Formats: sequence, structure tokens, C-alpha cells
Amino acid sequence: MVRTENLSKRYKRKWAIKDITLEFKEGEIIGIMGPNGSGKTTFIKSILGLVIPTYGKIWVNGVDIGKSTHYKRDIGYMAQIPRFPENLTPTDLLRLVRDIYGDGKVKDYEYYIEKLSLNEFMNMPIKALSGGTKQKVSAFLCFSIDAKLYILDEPTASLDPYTSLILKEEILRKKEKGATVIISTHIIPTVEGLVDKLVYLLEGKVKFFGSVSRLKEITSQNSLERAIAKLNHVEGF
Amino acid sequence: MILIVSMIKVCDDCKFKDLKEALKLTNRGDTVLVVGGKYVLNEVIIDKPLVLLGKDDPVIDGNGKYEMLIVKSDSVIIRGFIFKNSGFGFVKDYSALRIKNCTGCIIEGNRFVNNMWAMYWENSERGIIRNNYIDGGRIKGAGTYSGNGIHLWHCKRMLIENNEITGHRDGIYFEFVDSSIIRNNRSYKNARYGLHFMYSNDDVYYDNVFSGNGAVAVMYSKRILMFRNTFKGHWGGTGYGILLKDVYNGEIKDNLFYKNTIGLLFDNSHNLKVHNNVFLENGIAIKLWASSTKNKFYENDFIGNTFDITTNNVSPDVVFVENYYDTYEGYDIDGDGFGDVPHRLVRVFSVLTDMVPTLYLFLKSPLQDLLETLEKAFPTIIPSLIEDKRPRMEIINYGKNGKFKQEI
Amino acid sequence: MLKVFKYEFYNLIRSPAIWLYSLFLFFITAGFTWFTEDPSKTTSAVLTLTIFLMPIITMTISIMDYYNSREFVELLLSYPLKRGDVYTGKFFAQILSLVIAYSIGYLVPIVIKGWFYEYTLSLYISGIMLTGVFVSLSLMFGVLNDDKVSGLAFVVGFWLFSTLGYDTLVLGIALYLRNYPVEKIVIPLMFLNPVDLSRILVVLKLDVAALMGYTGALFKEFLYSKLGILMALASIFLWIIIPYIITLRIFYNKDW
Repeated sequence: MVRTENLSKRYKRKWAIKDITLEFKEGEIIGIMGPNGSGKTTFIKSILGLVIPTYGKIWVNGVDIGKSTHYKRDIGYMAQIPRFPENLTPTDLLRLVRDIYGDGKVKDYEYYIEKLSLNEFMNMPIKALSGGTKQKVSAFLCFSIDAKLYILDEPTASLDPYTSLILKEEILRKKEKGATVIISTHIIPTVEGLVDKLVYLLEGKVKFFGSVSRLKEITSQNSLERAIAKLNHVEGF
Repeated sequence: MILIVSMIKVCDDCKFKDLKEALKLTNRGDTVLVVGGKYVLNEVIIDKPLVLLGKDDPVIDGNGKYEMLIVKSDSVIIRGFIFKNSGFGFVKDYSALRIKNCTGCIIEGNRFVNNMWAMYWENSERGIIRNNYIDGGRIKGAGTYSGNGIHLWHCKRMLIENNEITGHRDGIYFEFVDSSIIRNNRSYKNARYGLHFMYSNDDVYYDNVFSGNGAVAVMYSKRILMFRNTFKGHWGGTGYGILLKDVYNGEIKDNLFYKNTIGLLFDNSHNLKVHNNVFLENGIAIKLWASSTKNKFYENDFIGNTFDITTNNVSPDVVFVENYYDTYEGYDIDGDGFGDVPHRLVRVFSVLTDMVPTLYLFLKSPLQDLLETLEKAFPTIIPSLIEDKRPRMEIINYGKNGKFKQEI
Repeated sequence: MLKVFKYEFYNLIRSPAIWLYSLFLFFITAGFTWFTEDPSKTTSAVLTLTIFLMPIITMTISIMDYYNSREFVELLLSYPLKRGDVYTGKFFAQILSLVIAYSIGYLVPIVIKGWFYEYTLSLYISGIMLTGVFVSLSLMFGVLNDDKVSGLAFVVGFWLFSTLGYDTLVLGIALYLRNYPVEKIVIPLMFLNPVDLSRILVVLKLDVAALMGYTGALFKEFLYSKLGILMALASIFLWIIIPYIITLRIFYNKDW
């Protein structure tokens, strides 16, 4: 579904990510983890075409993304800090998404309004909404798109535990429908028991790529938390 | 002595049908009554005192080719005619009515329409021009190609009153005309000047209204008295209320200057008293050139002008005192009706534009505002060219007893 | 492009900043209208304020809207939209909402009074042209500077330059070369600055234009000739299109 080859991005003198070669398959849930500044966001934004790679290539659904923006029709994206235009309402934003993707691509929105209890907020301007509600709107817009790939950047950062749980359920639902989901986060419980594979980035490089069980195995740790802590200190996997 | 005066009647059904023929048969002092009709005349000469009376608007027509009537005698009275369609040319000056060497001629109550010159007086005195309506008509916009409405050359002791003049080059033109009076005339929309003095002395004009001409020009003249006139709407690149050039010892008082590009221009003019005038909403109320000396300006009102005074340099004997300026920002603590701090007459922006007129392109720009703000904030930095040491706190003339307001 | 334009416009037209701007213009115009009762004086007074304040107000509204919507732009760019369309949509949404605010603020008092004169119309057109120029410029400053403070510094800097600095410079040149026919230099220089150009466009229609005398006549003759109109339009157009193209290029190659 997503393949990168030597994907590298340099800002000024520093490499944010360097030579990342990975492949995610259809129906996989992938967690991208790593400390702050490890290149998680740069990696995700490269896939979305928001960051233009210094060199390296990316294919989504077999298409080289440098060629066209059309591949984004199959992507749903939930940004880290959702800051929508203050004077628009969630309804306006939904209309915008439907305008862009077409009604055929945005079908399940009523289900998500219900699921995320957004009913009462749908016609309020964004500036009147709390941080958590805004993130719910962000999730709602993302999931309403009938995509093959979902990219979520720190999705649970300001969500309450209950909503986080709903989010997890919905991620699994998308997986069942055959979608690939990429979740970038530094919050371990977000990925715990959810992801099929884990990418661990450190200083712009892939420190680990594989299943959670394999990570536990090679680090000889039982908990994901400890396994990850160990990754930070041990050379060469 | 018994004077035998006869009256000859000319009309379509009369014994005399032709005005020219009738004139040949007249004797000194006869009256010719012309009732209606149209008479084409080509340089017909009146060489004896006569009274020409028009009734029912008789027309003296030049067919666009001729100078019609020439008076070469004293004491001729012409009243009640319509003079129209004189010749028009670049080589010869055609005038509907020419008066030569006449003492005591009276031209009144006539209409002059579509003539190159309406009246051309030469070497005459004690003449009266009264109640005539003069319209250059077809030459409107033809600018300086046309002639003047009332043109006087080498005359004296003339009275010009209650005429209405428009559509000529100059409405009233004086060249070497002395000791004459111009009053109660309306001269408007003439292509060059509403009134034009050249080398004329000891004249007075008052209660006239000049509007929409190029200007009123007083040039190379002495002791001209100008009062209670209105000069308005002389607007354009060279619009002046009064343009003074080489004028000596005159007086300008009780006039209204309203909406002229420049109200008063002083070019090498000296010893004039300018007082009790109202300068209202002109571009520049008074423009003074340094060559003008010993002029005194007092008790005038300056209201709503873009610039009150502009000058390149002021002669030290030019005095502005006790005028009212709506832009004065001083105070009167002692309550004597005069501001306690002098009023700076020339603003820095107008000094600059006087140096480089192109800088007028910065009119209404933030830069102009900035310069004016700086000038107010730091009066000591920018030297003042000329000041009024006793500016009035209240309006002096405008609107007092209803004065001037009705003119607008 | 239209989709982005539509929602950017919906957002802006509901923003308090736009309506404060409109209200501000309304009070100024209505104020002068009521006080002077003279269309020429009103135009003259509004012109002075418009020329000075409109650049900084429109540029601030424009650049702040850009900074506040960076994350939204990011979201839009994650959708299947061309980068150019996202920028162009925003560009036109800003221009249209500012022009609407300007139109309401300025035109309502003028229409109520029925003051339809050449100069009131000239001022209206000048205002619209300036809005275009300043939106184009401030978006460029925004896209060039990720830091809000330096973006605003550019806005303020350009504002002072275009309204005062440039004219001071030209004034200096004119005074320095005053023994030469300076109008040959100054007139073309006036065409280069959109603020000067739009101001003179209005002033030439006002009564005070008579004061400009020979230079004014020269300028008028040129400005209202075919070549002059073409050059004026070209100048304004270039002021809009060049920053627009620069911004578009940066926008295309920018990392979000």
C-alpha cells in the first residue's frame, strides 16, 4: 500500500529523516514511534505530499506520489493540532470535504457524528469548540472519507479516554474493511494492542521495523514500554 | 436757436424700408426709429449726431462677413437693436459696432450676438455703455481667436454699467483707458479674461460679478480701485480671481474670491492695499511673487482655502496683519480678539511646491500630512517665511450682515 | 480552486476583522459625508485616510488570516487539491471579502447621498486596485516568513515605504534635480508606486487638481491617453501578478 525508498529530508543542515526504506501492506495498522524530533511528523507529511523529500521516492497504491495529487483521494488524514478556520462550522467543513472528494467518497459521516457525539456541535463555529471537540471533528472528517489509507498524527493527544477507546474501535473497523492505517504517536497506550507493526524512528533513521511481538522478543522485554525504552539505548537491531 | 428735429421711421411697410438709405437722408440730431425687420449692413458710417431707436427687436446683420456699423461722430445714441453675425477673420478685426473719436455716445439696451467683436471704441470719451447683453455665441471655446465683448482703446471718462458679457475672448477690455467706471456688470465664461486692463490708470470697478472666465487681469496699470466685486469659479491650470502684473498703487477691498485656482496673483505689483476681502475655498488664496513690494493685506478672511498664501520669497515690506485665518491654531488669552501667537502664513509644502511645481503631485499624500504635522510639532525647526503677528480670532467680513453669502 | 475559494470566503466574510474594517470605513465616510455635505471635500478627506490606512489594515488582515490558517492550509493540502489551487483560492477569497468590506463601508454613505461623481468613483476603483495589490504583497510576505513577527515587520516596513518612504525619496530627488525638467523623472516614478498612482488618479478628478498646474496637466494628458491608461493598469497589474507568481512558486516548493 505504501512503499518508501531511501526517503530523506534535510532542513537546513540537519537531516530530519534519512534513507528510510519501508513497505506497509494493505490491511495493516502501523504505529510510528520515536522520541520528539525523531522524524515521525516529517515521515508522515512526506507521504501526504506536504513535505517535499530531498531525495528518495514514495509510492502509494503503486503510484509515485511525485507525479500527481490524485493519490490523495484514497487518503484520510487527521492532523496533530487541528486548527480549522474559526468562523466555519463542522457542517461547513463536512461540506468542504464532500465538495473535494465527491459525495460517493464521503458516506459514513452520519455514523461518525453519532459515534463521536458531535450532533450538538455541528452548527457551532469552530472558535466556540473546546480542544477535545476540535480533535473529534478532526477524527470525524478523517474517518468520514472512504479511504484506503488513513494517516493519524498524534490522534489521542487531547482526547478523553472514552473517546480514545472509540477511536481505537474505529481504527479496527477500517482495518476490517481492508484499509491501511498509519498512526504516529509517542503515547504507548495508543498503539498497545492495536498495531500490527511498529516503526521506531531515532534521529531520522529506522531503528526498528516489525511486529510488536518481535520487538518484545529481540529486546527480551515483556512490556512494550520497556521494550521501547531499551531500543533507545541499544545499538544495532 | 431753434432746432428742427425730424423723425424718420424705418420698417417693412414704411416709406423707408432700407436703414442704410434712411441714414443717408438724415440731418444732425434726427431720430431714426427702426421697427422690426432685418438689415444687412456693411461698414455703414454714421457721421453726425443721431438717435437710433430700435423697436420690436430690429436686427442689424453682418451675414458673417461684414463689420456692420461705424460711428464717426459725437453724441450718437443707439438703443434697442440686435447686432448679430459680424464677419470673422484672422487678418481683419470685425466689430459689430465700431465707435471712433466720439464724445458722449450712448450704447444701451442692445443685444450683440455671434459677433467677433461686439463693440470697439477708439479715441472716445464720456461714453456710456449700459444694459447691453453681449454673447459671442459661436466663438465659445474658440479661445483666443475671437475678439472682445466691450473693447476700449485710448478712451477716458467712460461709464460701463449693467451689461452682461459672455462667450468672448475678454469680456471687457481696456487699453489706455483712464478715469473710467465699470460697475454692476456680469462677465462670465469668457475664454480669456472677464475684465482686462492694459496701460490704464485711475479707473474703478465695483459691484461686478466675474465667474468662470480664465481670470480678471490688471496689467501695467496704476491707481485702479477694485471693490465689492465677486470673482468666482476661475478654475483651471491658469485660473485667477485677479492677476496683477506691474500694477501700482491700487486698492482691493470688500471683494469675494470664491473657488478660484488662485484668488490673487501678485506679479511685480507694488503699493496695493488689500483689505476686507473674503477668500473662500480657493486653491491658493494669494500667490505672491518676490518681485512685489510694499503691499499691505489686512482684515481679510481666509476660509477653506487649500493654501492661504504661497510665495517663493517675500519682500520684507509686505505686511499681513489682523486678518482672519480658519487655519490659525493659536489662542487669545488676553481676550482682545487677536491671537497671542503669530500665524505662520506659508506652509512648508507650499514652499517646496513653489521651488519645484512638480511636487504638487504629492498633493493629498501622507507625505504632505507628515510635513504639515512636523511643521506644527516643531515650529522652530522650519523657519517661517512670513507671519501675521495679530491674527484675528473671529471672521471679520464673511457673512456679516449677510454679506457675501448671497453671491455663492 | 473554486472549492477552496468558497470556504475561505465563507470563513473570512464571517470574521470580525473584516466587519470592523468595513465599519471603520463606513464611519469615516459617513462622518465626512455628514459633516461637510460636500462630495468633493468628503472624497478628498476619505482619500487621505484611505491612502494612508488602507494598506496597513488590509495587509494586516490578510497576513494574519494567512498565519491563522496555516494548519488549515496544511489540511487542505492533504486533500486531493493542487497547491496552486489552494493558494489561488485563498488569494481571491481575501480579495473578494476585503473588497466587499470596502464597498459596503465606502459605498453605502456615498449611495445614500447619491454622490455619483467621477472622483467618488475613481476613489472606489483606486481602493479596489490597492486591495488587490496589498493582498498579493502581504500573502507573499506571509509565505516568505514562517515567523509571524518578521512577516508583520515586512508588512509595516512596506506600508511605511509605499506611503511615506518612497515619496520622501522622490521628493529628495526632485529637489536635488530642481534645475532640470524634473517632471520627466517624477511622473514615471509616480506610476511605479501603486499608492501614488491611485492617489493621483483621484486627485486629478478633484478640484484641487487645478493647483497642479502644468505638471498636473501633463500627468492628466498622459494618464488619460491610451498609453497612460495602459501603463497605469500595467503597473497595478504587475504589482498584483508579480508577488502572486513569486508566492505561488514558494507555495509549490514549501514544506508544511
